[in-house]
Order: sequence, then C-alpha cells, then structure tokens
Amino acid sequence: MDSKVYFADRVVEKEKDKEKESENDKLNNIKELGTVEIQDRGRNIHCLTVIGQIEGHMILPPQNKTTKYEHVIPQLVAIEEDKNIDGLLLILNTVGGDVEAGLAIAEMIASMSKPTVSLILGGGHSIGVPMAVSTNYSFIAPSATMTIHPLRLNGMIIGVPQTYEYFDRMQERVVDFVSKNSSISKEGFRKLMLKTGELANDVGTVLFGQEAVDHGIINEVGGLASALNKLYKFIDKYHGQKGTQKKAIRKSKKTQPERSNKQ
Amino acid sequence: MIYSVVPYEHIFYNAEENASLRMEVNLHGEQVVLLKNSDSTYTIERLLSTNPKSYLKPELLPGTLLMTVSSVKEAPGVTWEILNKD
Repeated sequence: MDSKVYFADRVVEKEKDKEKESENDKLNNIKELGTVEIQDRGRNIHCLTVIGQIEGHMILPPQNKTTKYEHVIPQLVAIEEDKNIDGLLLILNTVGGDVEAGLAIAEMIASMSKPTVSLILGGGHSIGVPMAVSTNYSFIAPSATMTIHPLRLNGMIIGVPQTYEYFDRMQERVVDFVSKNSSISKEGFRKLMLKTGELANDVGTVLFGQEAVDHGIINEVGGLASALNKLYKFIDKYHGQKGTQKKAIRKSKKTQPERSNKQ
Repeated sequence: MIYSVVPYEHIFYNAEENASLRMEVNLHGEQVVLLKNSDSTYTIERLLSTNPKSYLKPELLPGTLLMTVSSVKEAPGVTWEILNKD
C-alpha cells in the first residue's frame, strides 16, 4: 500500500518537473530569442441543425420531421454555459412551425454572448426567417429559398374585427424581431409578407439566396467554409477581449458595418 | 399557432398512428432517438446533439441496430448492445 502511494507521488513529482522544464524553455525563448510561443487554441464549435417543423406546445404527428423545443433550449443553455465551447453554428433547413417555439429559440440565440453564425441550406421558411436572422451573422446558400408569408388562421374563427387585429399583432412579433435583427425595415418586411402574385396558393414572397441578401434579411451568400471562417473570426475577436466580462459580438448589420466595432 | 409553408392538413395527417414506436434514450452520454423494429431490436434513428464530434462516433451512427440486454441483478437501467458491428 505504502509503496503504491510512494510511486504515485514520484509520478506527480516527475510531471511537475516536466512542467517546470517547459516553462523554463518558454522563458528562455523570450530571453534569448525574443519570441513568445503562441498557444494554438483549438476552436471548439457546436452545431445546431434545425430541420423540418419547429415543434412547440403540440407534439406533431410522427410523419413530420421535427426540431423539438425541449431539445434545443437546454442545448443552447449548455453551449452558453460551457467554457470549452467557443461558438455556435446554426444550420437551417426548415419549413417553419410553432410561432412561440421559433421565436423562443430565435430570442435565445440572439441573446447569447458567444459568437453565432447561421447558414440556410435548402429552405428557411416562415418562422425559419426570425431564426436565421437571430445570429451575429447569417449566410444563405445560393440555391436556398426563404418563403415570407402571413400567419394563417386555423381552428374556430369568430367573425369579428378583433380576430383580424389579434392576428395582426401576432404577426407583428415576427415582423418586429426580423427588422430588429436584420437590415430590412418593418415596412419592407410587411410588404414582402403581403405581396401577391408570387405564390400559387398563398400571399407572400419566395426569396432565393441572393434576393434574401439584396433585401437585407441575410448578410451574405455563402456555404460551409465561409460560415465557419466568419465564426472563427468572431471567436478570435471574442477571446481577444480583455477582462473576465466579455462583451457579446455585436450583430452585423449590412447598412452600418462600422457600428459593429463600437459598443 | 403554426407558421409554416406546409398546409395544416399535411402536418396533422395521420395524427394517432405510430406514436409509440420511437423512444429517446441516453447512449454513450448522448441523447438518441430509437425506432422499435418488428423484432425486439431497435435502430438508432437520430442523434440529438450539437457536438459535431459525436456524429463521428461509430456507436452513435444512425442505422445502428441495438438490442436490450437485461441485467436485472446488476443495475436497474437498461443496457444496449450493438448488433450490426463490423
């Protein structure tokens, strides 16, 4: 028993010696050569993929592929909390879904202090639009589309003007969030929502990759490499800050790129 | 309130069936969705993780066949054994 303890102590001592040696080497490098060894910091990113319907209060039938609220929210908290995670890449290919759940996820991402970048592949429709703009910077694949359309009524509808007003206010939450987190104005977004002649059986607009950028909803057309590069840049900027309280990377807006440096 | 490009009747089609075939379990520290097969095996259908490195682990690959190993004496939890290992 004693010999084992002794052995363990020896191992610890040896390791300590090694640490001292490497520290001495670093000091020598500074003294003799005037160089400082830069630690290669591996960037550890996590990736949240949103596919199918965004599921909120109601469990959707199993033929729907869903992204569930109760999976995503705790994961976002863990990403924000974990010191080993440097940033979040949000990959979207969604047809929309629950308004409350979609807005909740979007608000969570928008209020994270760690760097976030989104990439829309395939489609980012309906409630996918606020989710796409919630990150610090957003990318869209050239072939991806975004459908922007008004909220629909379902269930029992009471034929009074208040019903319309209620719907208008619900819609306003989406319009508000998108205009706050991207460069498009409220009026511009509402105009796209209510445009006729674009969709076969609905009011609204379909935007292809470059069009979404032209309207100021998305920052840039790109793919995986461009999204990761942007995220790495944000991570380096985030870690480059002094002090323990790190400021969140500011939202990149297309019209005022200079503002991102000021706080 | 659902805000989607998919019509309601498509979302809520066939609402009652097949709901109990899928289950979520914790496997090797990650949450996975298992699909129950007609025999007493399970297939990993989906991995629920934001860690990209977890998707490279062969034991968590979607499509992996699993079987429950009952260990009543040892632990109250269920352990899983991979069937289609190469």
